[in-house]
Amino acid sequence: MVERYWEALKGVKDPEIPVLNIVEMGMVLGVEAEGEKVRVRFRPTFSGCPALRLIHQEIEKALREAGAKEVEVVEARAPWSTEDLAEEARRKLLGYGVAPPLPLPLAGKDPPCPRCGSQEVVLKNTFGATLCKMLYQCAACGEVFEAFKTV
Amino acid sequence: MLEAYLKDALVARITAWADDELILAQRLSEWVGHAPILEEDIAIANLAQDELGHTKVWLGLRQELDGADPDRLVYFRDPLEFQNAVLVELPKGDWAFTMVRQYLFDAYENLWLKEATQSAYAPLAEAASRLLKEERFHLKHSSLWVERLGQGTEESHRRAQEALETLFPYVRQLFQPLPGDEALVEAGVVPDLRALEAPYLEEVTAHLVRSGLRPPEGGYVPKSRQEHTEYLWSLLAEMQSVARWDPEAQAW
Repeated sequence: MVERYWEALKGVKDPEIPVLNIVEMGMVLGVEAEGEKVRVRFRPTFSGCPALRLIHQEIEKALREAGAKEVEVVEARAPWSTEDLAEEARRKLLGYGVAPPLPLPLAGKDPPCPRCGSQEVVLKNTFGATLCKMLYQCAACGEVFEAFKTV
Repeated sequence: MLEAYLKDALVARITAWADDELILAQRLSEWVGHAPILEEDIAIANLAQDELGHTKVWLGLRQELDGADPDRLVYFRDPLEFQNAVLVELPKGDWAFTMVRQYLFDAYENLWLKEATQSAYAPLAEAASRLLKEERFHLKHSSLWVERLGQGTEESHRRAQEALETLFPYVRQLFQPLPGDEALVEAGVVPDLRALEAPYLEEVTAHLVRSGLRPPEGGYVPKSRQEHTEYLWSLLAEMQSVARWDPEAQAW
């Protein structure tokens, strides 16, 4: 039964990075089911994320479609880390043109260009179009790209 | 669990932190659509959003302690009930003023949040670890801007120095303990802010001097967090206007 709900949650995308779902992002900490009541422990990536309310609604919708009659979403305060991203999620990010986060000990280093792989990149802005990304330009191929912040 | 005698003290402490973040977020948001270049417009919107997110984290923590509704606290308190430091309520000024203030505040937050990750009160330690990850990026951004302004053109240097003259004394208010802080520090719940003032001054002075700026000496330091300038009134009037027009609204 719980497996079915986990599967349903895999259909909930992060609205700001629509190639990733909230399970492979490591945002779901646990799912418990008691009869038709489902309780999800959920952890936001960045605390000020404007997509949170939407994600809550999508979780509820997905679980109801999977058969839940009552849904409770509990927000955990424990910090989220890019270490919690599944390997598959990193590959998807790269395919989407976003440099995936680096391993935590390398936080503060620059990521290679997702287009040509060059290490010669220049940080243009610590902040990007969403809270979780920074803006870079590759000095080798000229590509302007977003990089997921390593946190 | 937290001992009952510490609860009120922690509620006061958390409210002061939350109000600093909230008022600063509002000031930052005033730049949205008006920043000097598009990238900075985006960056400052990010900063505002982060600080507002942090307000939410702190007020969530407070709600667990005393049940206070975060929305009521934000939208329906009167100016004299706000516990923010004067530093964050001063008008946004020019770009140099905004960035110098941001740097001074970010350096302070990074310092105390790092200490607070060791808090004996687990929810506070968790919140601090979460916020610290995000604040690291703020400091990176604002410290670069201080350098750029300090060492840029004659005009950018002059404006940054003028901003520093006004802002620097107010920074010291951030390290003043609240009446209940001593008990919290003793119980290992919050860091001793007074002990952090010297390392802070050393760190920021070094960066300011490297950037060609001179931190001023002396100046007026507000005596308590009940003290506010007239600027807080107009800021709140704008921030709270929609909520107060229609307090029963379910969504805006």
